Amino acid sequence: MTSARKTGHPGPRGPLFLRWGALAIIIVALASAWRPLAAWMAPGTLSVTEVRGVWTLDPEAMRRRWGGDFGITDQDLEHLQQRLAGLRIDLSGPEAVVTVAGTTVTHAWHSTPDQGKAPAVTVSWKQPVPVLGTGTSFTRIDGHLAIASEGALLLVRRAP
Amino acid sequence: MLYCPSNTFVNYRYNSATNRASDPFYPIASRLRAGYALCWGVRWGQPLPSATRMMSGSTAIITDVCDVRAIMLYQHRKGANTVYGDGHAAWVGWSKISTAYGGIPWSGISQVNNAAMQAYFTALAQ
Repeated sequence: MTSARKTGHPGPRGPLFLRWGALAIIIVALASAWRPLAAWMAPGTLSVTEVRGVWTLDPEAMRRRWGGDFGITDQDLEHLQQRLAGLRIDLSGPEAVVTVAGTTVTHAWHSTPDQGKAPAVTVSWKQPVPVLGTGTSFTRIDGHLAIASEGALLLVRRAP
Repeated sequence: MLYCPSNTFVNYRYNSATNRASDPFYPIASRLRAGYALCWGVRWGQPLPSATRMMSGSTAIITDVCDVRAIMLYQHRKGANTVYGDGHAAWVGWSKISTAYGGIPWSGISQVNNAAMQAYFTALAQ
């Protein structure tokens, strides 16, 4: 009766320290990956990397997402397009630049750290912007990027 | 500060990434928001109603967030919880408020909405 354990030789599964080492590596990897994973899964939270770029209104996505009995109507969309004519939010540089109806406002943008969650990306304007008010947060709704302000919730897409 | 647990939108959840109740350094531009709207809070630049009227059991003074329809999609969809001037609260069904709801704009808070807000709170009155 000679088994690997009795003779002291490594068994078919390898030496004990290798097995425990592999387990420790897996535990450390899971622990370090948990926070970004949890942040990615959390609704309404975004990283700065995700919002970097130039954004514009996405009326078709809004119609698909919110069209219907309680949701957005063609009249609402038309009204929004009038008030947000040429909406362009440029977050490609260190300063946010928003242009609405020919008016351009610039202000620093930043992420707000949150307890154990991904940061919320917020932009505050030097002067109120039509519909967007004095500040805007980037958020995610059903996988689509949205901007939320005081009283505004709009889906956006990357500008062509 | 009051929060409606039925409101799932990030701006109106308790201590969410964009509505952080516990952070004293929270950016001033991203204001702290309650989950309910006050009748005098959503009618910009309008004088307060008289004290007698505000304490009336038929005057709706607080209800679920109603500033714009975009936000209202993320709370109750069949009516609204409402507090009246005498302190009692009641559930107001959709049939009573649907017309006034249709007059509320999709996005954008401004004085332009005052008439729609007035109509909505009038519809909530008992």
